Amino acid sequence: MQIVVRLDVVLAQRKMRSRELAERVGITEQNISLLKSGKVKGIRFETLAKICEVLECQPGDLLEAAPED
Amino acid sequence: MPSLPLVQKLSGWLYHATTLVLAVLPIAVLFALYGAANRSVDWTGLYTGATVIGARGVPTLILATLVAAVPLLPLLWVLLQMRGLFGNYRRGEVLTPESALCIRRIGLGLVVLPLVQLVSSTLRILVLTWDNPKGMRELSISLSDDFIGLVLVGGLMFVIGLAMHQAAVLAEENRGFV
Repeated sequence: MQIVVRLDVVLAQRKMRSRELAERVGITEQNISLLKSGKVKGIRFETLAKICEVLECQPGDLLEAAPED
Repeated sequence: MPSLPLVQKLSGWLYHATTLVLAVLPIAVLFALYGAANRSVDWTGLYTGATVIGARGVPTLILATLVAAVPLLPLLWVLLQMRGLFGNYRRGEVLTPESALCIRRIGLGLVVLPLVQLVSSTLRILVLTWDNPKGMRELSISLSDDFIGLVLVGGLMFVIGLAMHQAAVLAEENRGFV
């Protein structure tokens, strides 16, 4: 099982750019890009909570457990 | 890391200081050792206790100088590792495996240095007194509190280097989190 990040989908739905999200969450745009591509080891609860607050969504909207390819 | 700017600033100064010492030390030490062997300039008092009977030729003086200079090698290696560590720190690369390796190597060097000094000192006196009349050659082995101190400090640095490696691994893991 792997965790798939759907941040790009939610950003598109909210019509928000990565740069704006990064500024409002307080992390770098590079980290947002890494998160979108799933190339991170994990996400802190604090960061996840801020992203959900900014995007007005739930963690389940951003993260999905899917079988490994 | 709140104190990182201070670490970087101090490391910058220490990096340049270490570079200067690396450039000057070998020449200064060789000059002082040759002068001490020749007894024309005994700045270091390195040969206190060695009874040299008769003049020594230049080859003997050169050999004694080279033997006395052997501890310079581990010392220079330690200084190189320190320069490498300060270089990493001034770039902000504090908790990294490379910096931890530098610390371990400094510790190893500080353990080896007094052992090499011990052997070098013994051989140096033997070389200088080899041409003494039979029965008056000297073999001297001396241990000092500096010896014990350096070995302990070296051991401490080595263990700290091991611990810093663990810290570096954890820091690397932490960097993977957003």
